[in-house]
Amino acid sequence: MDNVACKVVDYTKIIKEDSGMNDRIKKLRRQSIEAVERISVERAKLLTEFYKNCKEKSEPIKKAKAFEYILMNKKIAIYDGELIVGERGEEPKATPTYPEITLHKREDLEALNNRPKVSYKVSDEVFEIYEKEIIPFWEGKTIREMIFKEVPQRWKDAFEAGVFTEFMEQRAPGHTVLDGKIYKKGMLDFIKEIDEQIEKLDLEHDREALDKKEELEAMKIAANAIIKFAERYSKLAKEMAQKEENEERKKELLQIAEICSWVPAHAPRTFHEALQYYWFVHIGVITELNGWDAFSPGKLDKHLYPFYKKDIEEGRLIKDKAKELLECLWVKFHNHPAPPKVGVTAEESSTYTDFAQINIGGIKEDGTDNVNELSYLLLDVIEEMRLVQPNASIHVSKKNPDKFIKRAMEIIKTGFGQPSIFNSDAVVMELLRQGKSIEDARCGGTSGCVESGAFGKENYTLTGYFNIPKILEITLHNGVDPLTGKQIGLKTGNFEDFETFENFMEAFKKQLRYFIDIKIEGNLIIERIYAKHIAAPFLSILIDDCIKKGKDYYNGGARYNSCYIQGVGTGTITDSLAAIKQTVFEEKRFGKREFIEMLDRNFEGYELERQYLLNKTHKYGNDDDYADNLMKEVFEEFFKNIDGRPIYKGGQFRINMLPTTVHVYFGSKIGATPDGRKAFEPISEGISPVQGMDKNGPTAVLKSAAKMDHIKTGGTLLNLKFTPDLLKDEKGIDAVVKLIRTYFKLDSHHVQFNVVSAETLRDAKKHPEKYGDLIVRVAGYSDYFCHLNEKLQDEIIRRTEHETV
Amino acid sequence: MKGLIFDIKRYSIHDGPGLRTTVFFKGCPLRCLWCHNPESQKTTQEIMYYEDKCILCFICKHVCKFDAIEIKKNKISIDTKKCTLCGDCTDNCPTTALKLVGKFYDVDELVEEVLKDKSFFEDGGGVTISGGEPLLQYEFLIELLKALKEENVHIALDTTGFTEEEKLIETTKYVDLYLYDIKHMDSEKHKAYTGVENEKILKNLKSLDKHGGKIAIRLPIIPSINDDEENIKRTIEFIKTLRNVVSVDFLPYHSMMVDKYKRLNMPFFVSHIKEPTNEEMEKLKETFEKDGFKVNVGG
Repeated sequence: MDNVACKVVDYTKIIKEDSGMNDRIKKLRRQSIEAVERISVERAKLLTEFYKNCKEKSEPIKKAKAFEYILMNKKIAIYDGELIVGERGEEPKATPTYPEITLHKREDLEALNNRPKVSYKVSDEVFEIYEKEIIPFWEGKTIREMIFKEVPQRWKDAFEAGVFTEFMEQRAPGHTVLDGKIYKKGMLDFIKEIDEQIEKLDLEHDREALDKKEELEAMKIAANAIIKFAERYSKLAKEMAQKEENEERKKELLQIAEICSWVPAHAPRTFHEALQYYWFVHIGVITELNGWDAFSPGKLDKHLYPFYKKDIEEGRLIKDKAKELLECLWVKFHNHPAPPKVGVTAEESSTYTDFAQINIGGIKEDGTDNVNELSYLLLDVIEEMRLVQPNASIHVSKKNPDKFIKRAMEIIKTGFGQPSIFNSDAVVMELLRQGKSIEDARCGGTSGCVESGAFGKENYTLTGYFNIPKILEITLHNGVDPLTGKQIGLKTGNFEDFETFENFMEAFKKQLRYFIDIKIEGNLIIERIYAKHIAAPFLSILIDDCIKKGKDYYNGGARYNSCYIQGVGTGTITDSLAAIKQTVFEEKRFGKREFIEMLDRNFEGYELERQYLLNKTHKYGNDDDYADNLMKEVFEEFFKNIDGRPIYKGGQFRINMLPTTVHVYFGSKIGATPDGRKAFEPISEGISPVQGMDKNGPTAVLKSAAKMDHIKTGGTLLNLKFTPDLLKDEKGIDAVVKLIRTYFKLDSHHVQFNVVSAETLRDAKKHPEKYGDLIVRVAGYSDYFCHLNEKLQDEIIRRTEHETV
Repeated sequence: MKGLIFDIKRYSIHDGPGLRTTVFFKGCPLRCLWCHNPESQKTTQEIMYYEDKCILCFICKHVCKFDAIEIKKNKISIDTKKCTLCGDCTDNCPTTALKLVGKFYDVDELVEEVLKDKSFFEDGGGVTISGGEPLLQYEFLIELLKALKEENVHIALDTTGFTEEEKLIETTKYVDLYLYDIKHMDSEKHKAYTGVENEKILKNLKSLDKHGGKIAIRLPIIPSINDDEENIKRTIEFIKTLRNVVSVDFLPYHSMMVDKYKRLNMPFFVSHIKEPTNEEMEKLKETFEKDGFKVNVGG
């Protein structure tokens, strides 16, 4: 437990907090919170063993067999009191590595072990096995190495300069969510479908028939593997039941044995079976690969409600038992931290959270209100559990009742940061715009932070953040990155030579286009590497139409395929352009040469000028068209240059506007900016205004943000900071409900509330030991405050202070 | 015609129903000792000095054409006799330590500004006109009310009631809800604490009630000044005689505005008064509720 200040758990708080739940859940929850994140070498070891002895030539079949080998040979356990079983590692929070994608070297493992925040303990045994077996075998063979070998120098230059990041360099593209199919079909049913497809293959006329056959055979192996994996649990439960002396537990173990011998082989018959089935599927997906955003059951209230209703009607289930089972599932999510990330990728997403987002409410395929009894029960679960994982969101359609939002606000106002709030009608419009059918769009929702997708039918990969303010810095310096002196952009002209602001904007747009082209060029290379070298036969069973097409999820098997590039720094770029336009071109307060000088010197000797830029220029987030029109102009340009361009697997590039934690990293790669921000400070996050620059209250922030055309994105992220007193009474809650309804009426995508006082946060920074479970909303997710790095902590404190002024 | 406005506050949830935008008219005939908005009192613009924001760059002194700014003990001091309120110092102050309070608007401009949040006004929200005393700028007020009425928004008027009766009654053509202050039932004390007697105020209130204006009674609760049993009793008795009272709103005294007095270089006489406790407010609330009034604490 050394070097883990943040892991010190305040028992008094937990005891106070877990008062709503029963003893079983208290114990499981406490175990999960107290467990230390550590590296499990089991998967890497088994995978290496398998590959050393593998003679299989077919890529998908090899992957399927490796999947099977891991599931058949990994350690399994059922913990005392558990009702839902299955772990990815040997024990809670033991987190595997994926050396086929990214190989951790000794120094990477040391960094994971020693870094003060989001560390993963690495035991001596792990170091040894890594050095003896894992590193020697995988070195030179990983996806990460292939990527860096194949991308052009200009891509590397931009990547190193912090112009963009690349998710896929350390984790496989995941980004998908399950629909309702597993609640209707068992793995045996999927195998039948696969066999039918194999039967139908036209080996004489279809030149891809053999590829398809391999892929389908691989899916079959994977389906059987997950059935056998469940059977191992069934057998274990039976054995444990024989030895169990407590009669109650014995009964439970026998029930677990029965459930695991039925699902996932067959379609579930009960609420409990449905949950256990999902959990096996979840473990399967995150064991097969380290896909980004883990995996998620999506609209849990919709999928589970028929089971819930039937079980209750037939006397098999009571509400409390259903809650207990859901809470067991919650603990399972919490036992599974994100696979360890290093370097830039760790910085862009500095969290243990693996972004499984449970969607609650919204609408059904037929467009009717999906809020049901289970929606409220899920909110009870979230309120009681107060865990960072899974992430939960409510989906608000004009068809949902206010009561539903108010219930969610009661949880949000406690400062927990969950659930976040989405406009389900906007999500449908976004997906329709992209060409999805109305049923598929309504079946969709959001995952990860805020990303829209057609659940169960789409591969919607996030491919990297794009640092829009950095483009401005490069433009101001005629294509040179002033931090390194390297010419990485186009020569679009010296700042002094621009006669009008419009001319300058043209140069900015040229640079923007240039770097987007580089990003996309890299993407096409990377996507192709995944399509050719990585297969995910298990995931492919779950996403339509991989079986029908006989194609892998990574190779265009999904019905819809999208690649997202995430724009970051809306507030900073808008305020910076507004400052240039106003002070340099209109007021002519500052000379052009002087202006560059000020930025290059990080405002040293120019504090008055900086104060003027901070306080006397137009700022985004105040419902001020001067600034907001510039925001729109940049947004439209970003959109125009990305949206609709073809991706490798067939499908289109799309945009969304969210940061996770990358705004801190991106800020560290930019010198002083024209909005008065000093060098290396974080840039603005999501589509929120620059921290502390919104001065006209929440309605003005929402109005500014809604001027962006959200429907053209696949998700935007807006943080609204509230101190608890704004929500203390019914009037406050009603007002927020109106805020949300109006923001959504303006076709906006998402809003989330951080409800906490600055004082609390400052104390938490000083005394992390006292606040082990203090959760704040970071970006599209919540995290333990004391897991955040100092810069992020300070930023959240600043946001809060601003609110109380 | 222009009106002098000292603030426009959006997302205002305590000045009438729903989500509202509140417009604050500058200028007030009363001088309540506990005034929460001392910048509302003068009928002219004035300059506020935020000492904590001042970085002593003296740009203000350099740009002042009237030599009205002096530096005294590391502080800015403005000679109000020389100052013409031209705004050069406030415009150029890089940290906004100097702020010109009060902006002249014509009606169209003001309507555009307050309707920026129109989309949030649905389900009962709207615009609240407050002050200061809005009726001091009567002609401008009427023009504004007409324009807002045309836009079909809910209008609340927050008034001291210290005005000519016919002016107040004229506003009933446009106003949906009055937020009407009763500061003290005893006229002598009223004069001592607010600078004016209360007869006109109470008479106007009765007349407004008779003319059918919907009224939310606003009671500033100032410990040791107007929260004694006697005054509360008289207040309740008086309100009972009215027919169109929709609610009674308590505005508990708070001392958050003390800094404002400093910024305006104004004396503050009631620094000994403590904020009422939640328990006291609850008790008071019960007293009113016994008489059947709907009470909101904090408006």
